[in-house]
Amino acid sequence: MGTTIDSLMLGFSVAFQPDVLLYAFLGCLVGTLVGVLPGVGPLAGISILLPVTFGLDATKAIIMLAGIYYGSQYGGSTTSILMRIPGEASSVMTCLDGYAMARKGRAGAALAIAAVGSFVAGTFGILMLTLLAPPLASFALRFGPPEYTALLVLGLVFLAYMSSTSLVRTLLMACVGLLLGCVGIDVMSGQFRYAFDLKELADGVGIVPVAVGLFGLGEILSTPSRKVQGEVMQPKFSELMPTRDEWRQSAMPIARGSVLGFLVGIVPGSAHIISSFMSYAIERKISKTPEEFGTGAIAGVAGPEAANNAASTGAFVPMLSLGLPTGPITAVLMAALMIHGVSPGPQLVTEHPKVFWGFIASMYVGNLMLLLLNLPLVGLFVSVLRIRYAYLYPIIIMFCIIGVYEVNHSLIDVWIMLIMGVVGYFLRKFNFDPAPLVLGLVIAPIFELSLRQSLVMSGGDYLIFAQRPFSAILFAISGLLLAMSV
Amino acid sequence: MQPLRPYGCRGFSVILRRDHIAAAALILLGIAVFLLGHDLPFGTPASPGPGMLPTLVAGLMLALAVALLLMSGSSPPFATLEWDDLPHAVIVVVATSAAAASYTVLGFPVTIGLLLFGLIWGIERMPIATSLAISIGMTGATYMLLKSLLKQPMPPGIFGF
Repeated sequence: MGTTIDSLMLGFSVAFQPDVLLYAFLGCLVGTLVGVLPGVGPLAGISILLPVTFGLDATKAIIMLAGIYYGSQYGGSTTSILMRIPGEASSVMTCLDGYAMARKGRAGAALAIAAVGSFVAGTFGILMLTLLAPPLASFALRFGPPEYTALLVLGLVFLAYMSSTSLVRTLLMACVGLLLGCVGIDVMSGQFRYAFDLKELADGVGIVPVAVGLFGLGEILSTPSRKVQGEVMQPKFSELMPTRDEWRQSAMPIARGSVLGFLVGIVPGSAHIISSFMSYAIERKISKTPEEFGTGAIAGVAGPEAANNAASTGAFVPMLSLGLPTGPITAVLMAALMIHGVSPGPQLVTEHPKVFWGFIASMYVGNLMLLLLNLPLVGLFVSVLRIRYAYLYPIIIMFCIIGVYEVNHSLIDVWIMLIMGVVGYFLRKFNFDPAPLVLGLVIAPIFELSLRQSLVMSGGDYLIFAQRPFSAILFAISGLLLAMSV
Repeated sequence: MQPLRPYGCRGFSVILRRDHIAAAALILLGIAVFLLGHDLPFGTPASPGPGMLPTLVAGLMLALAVALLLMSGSSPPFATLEWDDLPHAVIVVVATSAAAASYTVLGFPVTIGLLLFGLIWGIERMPIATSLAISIGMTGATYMLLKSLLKQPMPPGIFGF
C-alpha cells in the first residue's frame, strides 16, 4: 500500500505540471464537445487529435486522448437529457428519465446529478484502478467465450426481469435487436447476411443511427408542436440545482451504479455498455416508486450515468495491466502509446512508471476538471429549453442527420435513422420499450461470436456452459430470474 | 364499437386489439427473416454456421409473438389508439427523406438550410424573418463548427460547398 501511495505521489508530480494540466484540460474540453454532439463520438475525437499528439511525449499524449474518452461520457448525457438524442449506446438509458425531467422543468437538476454522479463514479473507478488493477486484470483474463455468452444472456434476462413492461414484450424487442445485429458480414465465415447487396451494410447496422432514430426522431414524430405547451421556462439559479430530496434519492443509485459499472467495465470487450442498462433495471426494480421510472425519476439518471462512467474507467484496467484493449477506443489509445515508443502491458508499470502513474493521477485531475467544466454550464444548457418547440425540433432533426452522417459518412445510416424513427413511433403506439432493442443490437456481435466460439471449443457440446464454474453460475442466475419472472 | 364478425359465424366476434396487430407484424418479421436467410448454412453444433443465430432468434421471436397473440385479450382495442399526431409524423418523415435524398446532391449548407426553413416557416408558420435568421444562422454555425474546428469532411454537392 505504501508503495502504491508513493507511486501515486510520483504520478501527481507529473500530472500537476502546468503543461500536462493544459493538455488534460484540452482533452476534457474536446471530449465534452464531442459528447454533446450526437454522432461525433469519442473515437472520432481521439482519431482526429491523434496526429496532433505526435509532437508530444507519451505522457501528455495519452493524458489528452484519455481526457477525450471520459470527457465524452459527461457530454453525452447533455443531449440525452435536453433533446432525447443519445450520442452513444451508453447514453441511451439517460434519455428515458433525463428527458422526462427536462420536460418537467428539472433539466438543471438532471444535468447536475449526471455531472456529480459521473464525478463520484469516475473517482471511485480511478481509486479501484489504482488499488486493484493487477489482480482484477488477472480475474478478467479468465473470461473466455462461455463466460461471455453467459454474461450477455444474464444481461438480457436481467433487463427482462427488471422491466416494467411484460417479459414477453421485453424479450420480443431484444430479439428484434439481436436480429438487427446479425446484419452484415459474418465474422467467422465472411458471408454477407441480410445486407440486400449494400456494401455499406457490410459492417452491420450502426448503433448510433438506430439509437438516434428510435429515441430522437421517434420522439419528434410523436410530438407535434401543438401538443407542447409553449411556456417559457426561466428558472432561477437555485432551481437549476437538485433539491436536497433529489440529492438524497441519488446517493445510493450513484453508489450502486459505480460498483456495478466498474465490475462490468473491467471485462474485456464491449460488454461494459450493458452496465447502464443493468443499473437502470436494478434501480427500477428496487425503487419504492417504480411507476415513476420513465416519467422523470432522478434515480433513473443517477444510476446509469454513474455506471456508464465507472465502466469507462474500468475499461482501462485490462488495457494498462495486460495490454488488452477492451474495445476500439482503448485500442486507439494503445496505438497512441505504441507510436510514442511505450508498449502497454504488465511491464508498463516497471519500465515507464511516470507514464502509468502520471496517467492515473491525471484521471483524478481530469475528473475534477470535468465537474468544474460541466456544472457551471448547466444554466447555459438549460437555456436551450427556452427555445420554442416549433424552432427547436427542426434544429434537433438537423443534428440527428448531421450526427448520424458524420459517423461513417454514409447516407445509408441516415436512411436507417429515418426507418428507425418510424419504428420508434409505432413502438410507442403499441406500448413497446425500445431500450431492449438497442441492447440486443449492441450485444449481438459479441454474443454470437462467443456462442459459436464456445461450441467450436467444446466440439458442439453445450455442456461446456455448465462445466465452466463461472459460466454455470451466471446461467443459473439467469434461469432463476426467468423462473421468477414467469 | 362493432366487433369484427367473420362471415357465417353467428354469435362469434373478435375485437381487433392493439396486440393482435403487433403480434402479426412480428410474426411476419420472423417469417421474413427465415425466407431471407434460407441460404445461410445453419452448420453443425461443432461448427455453427452464419445461419444459426438468426434462425434461433427468429424462432424464439415467433414463439413469443404467438404468446403475445394469445395474451392480447387484455390490450386495448386497436380502434381506440389515437392517431392525431400522424399528420405531423408524415410531414417530418417526408421532410427528412427529402433532406437525406438531397444531402450529397445539393450539399450540406443548401440542404440543411432548406430543411430548417421549410419546417419552421413552411410547416410551423413562424414569422419569415425569424425563420430565415434561424435557418441561415444555425446552418452557418454548424458548418463552421464541423468543417473548420472538427475538420469533418462535408458533402460538397453541385454548388461546390
